[in-house]
Amino acid sequence: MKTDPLLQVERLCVDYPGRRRQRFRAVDSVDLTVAPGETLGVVGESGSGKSTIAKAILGIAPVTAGTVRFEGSELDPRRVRRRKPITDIQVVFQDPVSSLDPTKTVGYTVAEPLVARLRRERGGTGDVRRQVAEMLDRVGLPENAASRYPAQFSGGQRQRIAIARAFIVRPRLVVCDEAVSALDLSVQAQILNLLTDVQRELGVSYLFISHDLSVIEHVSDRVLVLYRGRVMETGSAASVVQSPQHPYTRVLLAAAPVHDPLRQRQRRELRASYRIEPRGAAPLGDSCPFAHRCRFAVDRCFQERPVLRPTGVDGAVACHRYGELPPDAEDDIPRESRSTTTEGSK
Amino acid sequence: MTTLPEPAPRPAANAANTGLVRSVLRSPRGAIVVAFLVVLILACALAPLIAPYDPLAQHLSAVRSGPSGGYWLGTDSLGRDLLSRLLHGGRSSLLGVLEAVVTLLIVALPTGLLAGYLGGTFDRIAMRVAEVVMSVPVVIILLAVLSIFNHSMTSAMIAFGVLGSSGLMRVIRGAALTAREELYVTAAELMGLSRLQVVVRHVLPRCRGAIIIQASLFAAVTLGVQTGLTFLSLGPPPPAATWGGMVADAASVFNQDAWMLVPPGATIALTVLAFGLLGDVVRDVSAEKYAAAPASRRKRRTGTPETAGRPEPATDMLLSVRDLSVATDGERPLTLLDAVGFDIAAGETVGLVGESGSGKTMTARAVIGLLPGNCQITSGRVVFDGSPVQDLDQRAFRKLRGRRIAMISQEPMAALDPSFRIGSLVAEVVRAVDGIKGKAAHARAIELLRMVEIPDPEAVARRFPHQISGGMAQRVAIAMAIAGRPELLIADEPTTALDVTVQAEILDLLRSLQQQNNMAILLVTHDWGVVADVCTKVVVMYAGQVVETAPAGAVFDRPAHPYTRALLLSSPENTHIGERIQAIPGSVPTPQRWPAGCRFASRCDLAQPGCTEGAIPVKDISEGRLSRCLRVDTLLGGEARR
Amino acid sequence: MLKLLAHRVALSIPLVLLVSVVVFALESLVPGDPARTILGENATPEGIAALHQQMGLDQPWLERYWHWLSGLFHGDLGASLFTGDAVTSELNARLGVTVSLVLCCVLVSAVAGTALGMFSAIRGGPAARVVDVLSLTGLALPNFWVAIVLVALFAVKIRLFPATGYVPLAESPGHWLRSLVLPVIALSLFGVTAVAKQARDATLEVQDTDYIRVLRGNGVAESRIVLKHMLRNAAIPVVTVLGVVAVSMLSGTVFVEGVFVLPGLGSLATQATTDHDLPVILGIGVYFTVVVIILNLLVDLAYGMLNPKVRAS
Ligand SMILES: Nc1ncnc2c1ncn2[C@@H]1O[C@H](COP(=O)(O)OP(=O)(O)OP(=O)(O)O)[C@@H](O)[C@H]1O
Ligand code: SF4
Ligand code: SF4
Ligand SMILES: [Mg+2]
Repeated sequence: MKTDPLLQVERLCVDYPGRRRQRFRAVDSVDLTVAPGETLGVVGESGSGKSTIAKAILGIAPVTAGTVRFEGSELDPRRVRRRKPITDIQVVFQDPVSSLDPTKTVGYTVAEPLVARLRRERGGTGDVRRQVAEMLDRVGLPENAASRYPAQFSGGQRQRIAIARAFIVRPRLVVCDEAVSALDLSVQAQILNLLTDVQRELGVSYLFISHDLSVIEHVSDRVLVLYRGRVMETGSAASVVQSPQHPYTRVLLAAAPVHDPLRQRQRRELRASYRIEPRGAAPLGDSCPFAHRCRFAVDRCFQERPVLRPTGVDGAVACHRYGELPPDAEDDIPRESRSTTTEGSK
Repeated sequence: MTTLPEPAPRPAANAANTGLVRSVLRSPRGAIVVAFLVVLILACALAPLIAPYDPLAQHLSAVRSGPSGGYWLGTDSLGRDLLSRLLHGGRSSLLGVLEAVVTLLIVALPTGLLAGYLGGTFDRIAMRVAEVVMSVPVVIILLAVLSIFNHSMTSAMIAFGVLGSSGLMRVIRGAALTAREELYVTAAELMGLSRLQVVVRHVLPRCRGAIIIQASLFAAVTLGVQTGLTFLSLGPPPPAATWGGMVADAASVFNQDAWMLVPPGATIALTVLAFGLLGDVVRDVSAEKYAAAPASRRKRRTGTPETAGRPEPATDMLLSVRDLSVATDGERPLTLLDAVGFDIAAGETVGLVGESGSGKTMTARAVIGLLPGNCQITSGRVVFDGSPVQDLDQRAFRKLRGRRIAMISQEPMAALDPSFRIGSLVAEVVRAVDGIKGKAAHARAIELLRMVEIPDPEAVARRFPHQISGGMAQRVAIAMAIAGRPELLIADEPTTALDVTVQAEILDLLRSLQQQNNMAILLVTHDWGVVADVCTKVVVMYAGQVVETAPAGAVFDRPAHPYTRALLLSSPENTHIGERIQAIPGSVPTPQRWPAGCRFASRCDLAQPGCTEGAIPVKDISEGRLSRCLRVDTLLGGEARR
Repeated sequence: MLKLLAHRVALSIPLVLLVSVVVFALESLVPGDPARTILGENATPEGIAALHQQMGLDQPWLERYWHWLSGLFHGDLGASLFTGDAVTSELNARLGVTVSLVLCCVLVSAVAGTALGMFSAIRGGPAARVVDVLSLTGLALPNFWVAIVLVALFAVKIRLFPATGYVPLAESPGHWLRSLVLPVIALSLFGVTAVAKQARDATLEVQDTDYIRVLRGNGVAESRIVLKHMLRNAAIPVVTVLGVVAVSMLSGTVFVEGVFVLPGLGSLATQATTDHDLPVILGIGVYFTVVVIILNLLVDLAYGMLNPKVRAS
């Protein structure tokens, strides 16, 4: 039962001007799709191109090649203002300080995209105030929030304001760029819950970017693992996190510490087993971008760029040695017995 | 104009606009400065009506009389009333300032905003032109203009405004450039607003402060130049009253009468000062305005915290903190740490866990004697290796630092002085802790870099901090910290800014260094995974207090405080796929709003009336486990599961 | 680094062109007859005609400009309308005075300003407030007024320094210095306070950085932290201000040299303006421009040396 994707990105390349007149390829031939109502998680370390992909989809990155289709129609990747249904794609950023104009009230901030759209469509602007109030209430802000300034709110509340601003125009797709990364654990939990609730109610799709695997695993239906601008592995969240196929995904998982000293000790051993003598990173080209850090690298990995190969139902892996690698020794202890804390919950 | 048709947001936006003016007037300095300028401008504008005499009338009976009832500020050598001349002279000076400032704004505002916001070719050209104009010897142009236009002050002031605009343009461009980087400007673009709309609504308001500051500073400078030119009698020709001319008149007779220098000198100085201060006030006010929430500074009542548990510092510990309280200085001190206590044994790794603002960093900085300038220890004891250190002055503390207690901080890049090479930074610490210099210090620095597993340490030593990666920078910071073979390392969120893979390497490095040197670590973190990875013991903080102390193995299985349990549960990692996360409702109270009883009470699912009555004592549950909860038995008994 | 220098030098050409074109263009725009303005109300027609010829007013301004410009490339800036002497020789004779004055002022501003600013930032408390008040006064008092007061106090009342005049360095270094003390004080007051303000802000900022905290936390002595790390990092913004201050002090010579009767470019500029002696003003413009460029170059060099990010690239 395959539905038509809401968002379809094909062979996307983004180059930034780099040092000494060279261009630096931040995103290298990335394909991705997001189905209606689905959450695609994008994970990778800093500099892997996560935010650049988001910007390219939003139309504010210097796209060199590739196409971005939304509901089947191609978007001009470089000009936001040329796009027709601009408000169908919205965004929530990481930094709760910078993402709100400090000189505008919360009411103004939340109303602005709605008013802008209504004006463009030359419709009436009748019940903007009511809609703003409803939206603020929906994201859990106090009634009087509309007349106050962003500085009077905490980081978590600011993120709620940003979410209200994104959702007031009923978008089809919301790009969340590290939307919970700057928040404390307890606040992060509240915001994640809010995002999943709103998604359930309104049926939007998320492109959810994070460096935190546990967050990605929690919110995503499917996951895309990115390294140096290239897709290393995709698949359902469960399969990627439970049985990672790509060596890089495995390293990433092994490095993320778990909340249990016993299991963490095993994970540490696992991560030690992946460790190799550091080699300098080769320039990106006709090689596996991970080759200099990969314990399984063979000569071919330095000479030929691996292509994405389908794994099972919906996954794909870009590794020459896919299929030859030993299974991941991780997770000997079943998930369910992680800790009594979780067991006793509910 | 681009205003929203919807009436609701409008008044609020206006409130933001008037807000700046109102806050300037509300600050005492601002009120005085503005009042002075208003009075001065009115007095000069109305000079023909209010001046006591004709500025040119010579009263030969009262030549060079000092201040008197008839001539409040005295008279000059021709017997002209100084006050009247000041008032009349001010007209041309202030008018000149006005002309220059208006010209400045007309030229600089649009170019600066556009250059900053649009960037590209326009920006490049504008910046080049500005750079050239900035180097023009302004006075010479002014002199040329005065010479050509036959001493017309207006043309000189307009020329001055044009030439000065490159400075303001650069400032506005800078502000606009910063504003353009702000995410809310990106968000506005994504709404499909036009460029003009974005500039007017979101970029310009951010630049307003900078514009006012620069314009008032420019006014101050202009006044100096304008009076200087009239001093050289290059302005209105002599009998006319000008401030500079009055100084020149006084100069010719200062041997006989020094007083005449005072009225014009003081007037010029005060006016320049007023313009300059106006800029300062606006800067301070706009810095405050959007910075922090207006905290209700009502005095908070804290029940005198009972020092239950073990009030005496443990003597067999490497570090023992008891009852440590830290507060801000000032009239209304604000308690930031409230009776914090914990122990660290030699070679042990203790995790200090808690959410933002719980006081982790403050605790760490108190231990190493580096509290922020406005904070101080108000009570309690910090005992290091048997001797109290909380009262040591900086000089005495320095003997401990580096050799016995060392530190690394959160932002590895920010922790390295950007002006020095890596090698010389490490050698600097080596010099301090080992007393060796030159080649020997450098050799030891290289050895240290090798110890923190930096490949090719000689090459890295020659680089500057901005030339290395974050993970590498943190290794360098660790090398600096272990230079003196410390017994205790204070690490404030050493891996928070790093990628997980790099974090894992740094944690491995810390662990191996610790085992080699039997070094204890106080590890500040908010990440339970890091705790599970390296810590032997955990100290959980909430709102300035320690709420739980436990061995790392036990805390995950059986947290002994409702906050610890709730915090663990709010991690997505401890949530089953497809279920909602069990988030803690509400938020951490700020120090201004700490309640009297249990600080977690409003968010606690075990709370009962007794919890809010008074300060909660720390309870010793079993060996090594402490909890600040009245219902810890219920919690551990397991009846009160959610 | 080399690129930086090339950039500066490249900038200087449009700069000189800009200044001179503006002056020539303005002159041509002025309504009325400049010669009449110069000679005053009761000028004879013959006098005016003679001046016309001397100024080349019978030619269009572009041509005159071209003439002046080609002269410039041969080191010829024309002759003074008043004295008839070659402008270059007149200016060369006076250049030394102004350059000595400005260089001394820059030096004093840099040293005294940085010391005061850092002292205020590190000490804090009442000492800082005294420095703050002093710098406000220094910023506010006009330099020509300070000059007169200084002369009144130190030269006339207690006769500590010569009131006026200048002794070339080559003649007698001691007297040279004595003749410059009062002018330098008057002129650098603004510079000292501007630099102090910047040094104070920069030091406060540096003081609160992680790297200073880490150096302290790892046992580095306070004196080394202040003299090496704080000074070095605070110096970067200070150098930038110093460039601006130096240029403004060059302008200040116009107001101050007259008071001390120093035979420099500034006092000549005033005289030339009163006399409407455009060739001299233009000449001084060229000289000042060159000095400004050299000052900016020095600032760039210092900045590049202090800031490793510039140095490394
Ligand atoms: N210089 C200061 N003056 C006044 N209050 C301060 C100062 N520094 C910190 N605070 C306040 O002290 C409290 C404790 O701050 P601290 O930095 O120790 O928290 P933290 O647990 O380290 O938080 P984070 O996880 O954000 O680093 C906070 O409420 C903070 O706002
Ligand atoms: S292609 Fe080779 S180097 Fe790349 S991940 Fe696979 S095994 Fe490793
Ligand atoms: S004392 Fe009461 S409110 Fe506080 S944590 Fe324990 S049960 Fe909850
Ligand atoms: Mg902290």
